[in-house]
Amino acid sequence: MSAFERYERLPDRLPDLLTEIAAPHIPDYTDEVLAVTVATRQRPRWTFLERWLPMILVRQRVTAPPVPWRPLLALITILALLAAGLFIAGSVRHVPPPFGPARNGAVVYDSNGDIYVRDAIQSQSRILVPGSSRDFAASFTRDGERLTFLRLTGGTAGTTTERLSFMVANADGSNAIDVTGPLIAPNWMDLSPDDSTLVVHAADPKQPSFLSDDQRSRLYLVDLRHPAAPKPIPIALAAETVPSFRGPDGAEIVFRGRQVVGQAIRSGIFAVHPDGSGLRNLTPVDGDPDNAYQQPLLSPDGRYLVYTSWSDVSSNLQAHLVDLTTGAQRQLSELGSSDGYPSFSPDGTRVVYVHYFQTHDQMMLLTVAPGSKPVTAGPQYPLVDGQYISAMFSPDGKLVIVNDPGSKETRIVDAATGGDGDVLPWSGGNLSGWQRLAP
Amino acid sequence: MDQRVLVERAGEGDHDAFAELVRGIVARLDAAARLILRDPELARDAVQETLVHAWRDLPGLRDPDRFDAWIHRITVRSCLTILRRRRRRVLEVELSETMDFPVIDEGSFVVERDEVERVLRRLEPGMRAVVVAHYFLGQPLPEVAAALGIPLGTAKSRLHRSLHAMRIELMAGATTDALELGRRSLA
Repeated sequence: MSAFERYERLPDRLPDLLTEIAAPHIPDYTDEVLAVTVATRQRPRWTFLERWLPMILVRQRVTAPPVPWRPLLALITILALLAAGLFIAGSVRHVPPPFGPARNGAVVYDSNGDIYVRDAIQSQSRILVPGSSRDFAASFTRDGERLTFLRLTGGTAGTTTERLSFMVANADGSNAIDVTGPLIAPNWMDLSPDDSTLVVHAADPKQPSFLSDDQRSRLYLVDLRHPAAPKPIPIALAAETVPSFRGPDGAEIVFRGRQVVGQAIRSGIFAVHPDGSGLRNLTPVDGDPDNAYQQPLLSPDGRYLVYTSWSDVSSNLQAHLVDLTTGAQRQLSELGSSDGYPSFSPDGTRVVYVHYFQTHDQMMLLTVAPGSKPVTAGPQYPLVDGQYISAMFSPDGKLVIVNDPGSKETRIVDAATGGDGDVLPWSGGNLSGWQRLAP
Repeated sequence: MDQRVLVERAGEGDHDAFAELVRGIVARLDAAARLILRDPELARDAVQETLVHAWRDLPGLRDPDRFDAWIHRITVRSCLTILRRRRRRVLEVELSETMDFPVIDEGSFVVERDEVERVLRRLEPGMRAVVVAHYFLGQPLPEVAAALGIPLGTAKSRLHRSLHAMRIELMAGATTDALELGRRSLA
């Protein structure tokens, strides 16, 4: 072969040349390494979870009709306005503020691809969204006026071909509208405080499909007043997941991001304005790309942040809390215990999270104030692969509903005291949303 | 046994399945690590780190068919992590090895192999990792970029520069051979 041919054909010949150089053989240290792995604790499957979050959305703007003013008809107009004012005040429906405590409304859940509702936790169940489509992950808008859910709109459920649309309907389930079109792996989403905009993470279809959905995840915005194709937020990071609008004004979106640091990818929690400007990190960007800074959630007032990280050192899952005003950070759970996926009470003073044992798991309640001790919320439930307990604060913050799909048991626990609580006469199944109403 | 079944069993905690899986792939991982690190002891560390990581996180692998791509990515990352930790030692190894006088062999494949190996040693480790991941482990470039945490354009650039360096070496080798032949014919 001539030098020119060698020059030209080098890329074709490199695999063979490299194989020749390396001379692959089973190394003599293989058994030693296997002795190390067998002594290494495997991470439980539940620590890799990306859970569906309750979703919220779309408030119809409630505006008072313009009041006419006619100076020359003062007396008559004043009387007319008084009468009109009384009429308007009686007809306008009050809605709760977007963040913070609210009055308890209906609970929604899905079963066999349909959405069901109970008008109160002791009420009878009735179907809200029937039909042949597969609907799930139901919730209500922040103001409780409308229903939201995901619908399988393409491919096969649970496979890489699966496509899901975000749906918005009236609170009675009627007039469901697809506001996003088909999305790939939209595992997390949130609404702006005024319910006008949805932020969702989904896999970017332009990225190579052999990358995992997580690796090609991007944040998208959808204008719910004028639904169109989701618009990507221009963020110069390797991947972005788990977005939430930061209260109380929603000026920033907080999310988990992956960034190239030196020659490695590291994870951290970031904030960005909805237009993509003002990107900043809220935590150090030093986490394992896959296992750190998972599930960031904000307190309703935007002051505190909670997240979950896997620790290689102690081989456990750790729940952390960050005060975003001071930067102070602390681990929520005791040293050595395995805890994860905390979420805040509506008033932001408490968190509920999962405490993991080897064979059981249990919901815990903890006051955010330093020095407080956690209390149990419900009993321990046996760990069933693929079935994970969950908990949700009631909108008024007085109750915690604990749901165990494994045993099909649902309990109501006092959020102030914890304890075993009371078993409800029905199973919450895939309970996912609790309607917020004006106080 | 089918690799997919082994991956699924290993993901459920079956260490025997994991061991069988490892015996099928460890030669390739070790070779890739030696190519990137140019040091068998460091390669051993990288493979150990890779396999411990893989065993620990296997329950989180959602698609068993992606096992090869997944463990190759971990291997490349482990190599670069080891390099960052032990940069000084690697530089010493590289410097001493690049002092070797090139051996000219009559067989063209062997000559070419030696020339490629010589260039490989001189490449900056990040560039070497791109070459090995792409041409030895067979990873598509976007996957290589994702594994190394670099933009796709950077991965392409590194590959291009690496190939260019190897081609220069091959041409230089050919020129040296021609000069040697010329000298012999004149003698």
